[in-house]
Amino acid sequence: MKPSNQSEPTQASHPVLSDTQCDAILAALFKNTPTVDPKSTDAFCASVIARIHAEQTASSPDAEKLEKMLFSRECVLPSKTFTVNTLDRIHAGDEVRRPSAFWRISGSLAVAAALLMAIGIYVQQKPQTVNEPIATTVPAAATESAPAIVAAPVASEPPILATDWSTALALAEARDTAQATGFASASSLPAVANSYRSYNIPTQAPFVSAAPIATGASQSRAATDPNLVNAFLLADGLNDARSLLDADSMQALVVLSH
Amino acid sequence: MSDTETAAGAHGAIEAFPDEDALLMRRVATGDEQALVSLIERWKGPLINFFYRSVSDFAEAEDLAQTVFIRLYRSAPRYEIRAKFSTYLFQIARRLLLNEYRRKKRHPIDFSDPAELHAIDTGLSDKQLREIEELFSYALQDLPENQRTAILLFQQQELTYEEIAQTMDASESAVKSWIFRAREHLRSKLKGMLQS
Repeated sequence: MKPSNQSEPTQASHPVLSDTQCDAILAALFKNTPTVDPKSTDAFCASVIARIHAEQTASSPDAEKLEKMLFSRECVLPSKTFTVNTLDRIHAGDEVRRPSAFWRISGSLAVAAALLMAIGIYVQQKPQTVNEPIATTVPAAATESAPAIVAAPVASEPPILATDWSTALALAEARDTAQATGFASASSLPAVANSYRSYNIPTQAPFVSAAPIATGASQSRAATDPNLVNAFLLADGLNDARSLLDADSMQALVVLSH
Repeated sequence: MSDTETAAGAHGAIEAFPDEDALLMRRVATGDEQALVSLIERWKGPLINFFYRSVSDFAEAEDLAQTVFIRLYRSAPRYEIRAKFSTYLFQIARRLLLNEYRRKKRHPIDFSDPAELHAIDTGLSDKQLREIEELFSYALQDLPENQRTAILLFQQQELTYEEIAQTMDASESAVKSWIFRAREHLRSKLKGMLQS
């Protein structure tokens, strides 16, 4: 069909197009593009290579030099914005090299996770303080047959009971020492005295209560009465008893107890 | 011969007889800038055409085409001859296009001057040609991206269904469906415009 030489009609009228005719027009439209000046291919190539070099050397080429190079080839660039876009992309070196937000955030999270793991490992491996019972040293005066005295408990714990009189004596001495240093309380001593009853230690005289014996006039009486001495020992400590009894009397006391 | 054997045979044929562009890519991997220039001279036009029809802006199309060649150069050391070079090239182009759609705003449509276009022997006047061109651009932009890309690769770049499927990472049946729907849409727009 030849192009019409008439002036353009105010209302276009066309026969109904077939699918084949439509496809032909579309095929032509797909192929149609603005003709590109062949000279601009050199400028195009130069721009591509310049940008590659810019990325490799991590330095931006001088914008003026690049522009001169492009225009010195006497090529007509299809669009001024093309040149501007190209130069902007070359100068945007930071945009090329800066890691994306994804990697920046991922890196921060990884560092935080590593720190938390290190702290967790440190806390797990930190030596823990163990509350061990305080050992009580058995005095040298205790007999060899005496069973080992279990470590004396702290004041809030129930006292450990001895299994024989000599042990009890040693325990009393220990408590006396502790009491003197302000460690143990006197309230634990009656329990020790009660334990002798339970073990049915044969004595000539029954145990008296562990009530503290008054000082002064009663001290002379305690010096002669073994039971009283016992009570004195248990109730009020050994030091006074020792001042009243000699070693032999003390030994006799032990024998009598058994 | 089964499909697997056919594909394997085709792959082997490509490996045994790589196309010229694939050989140029191997030279680019060694740093041969002249090989890159040869590829640019061959593919600059088709790439600009493809981008122009996708974004309707000539300056943008040229810029995108440049970026494709830069990415091509960067990927050259890793390039393996698995398919035709055109498939590989338009895979890069399409990925770039999708990124651009996400990042950039649409530029105003820059229609080609029909005086510069190749002659279309349809008996239409210049004004009508300009209108058709304008309609065609709008109609292409109306298409979903997959239909537009598929029909551009088929009609404009003359890739086969198989090559388009590889480029777009889709099945051949999906590609055929996209092309069919795109063509139907463009036909209806063109007929409606010409018959109004």
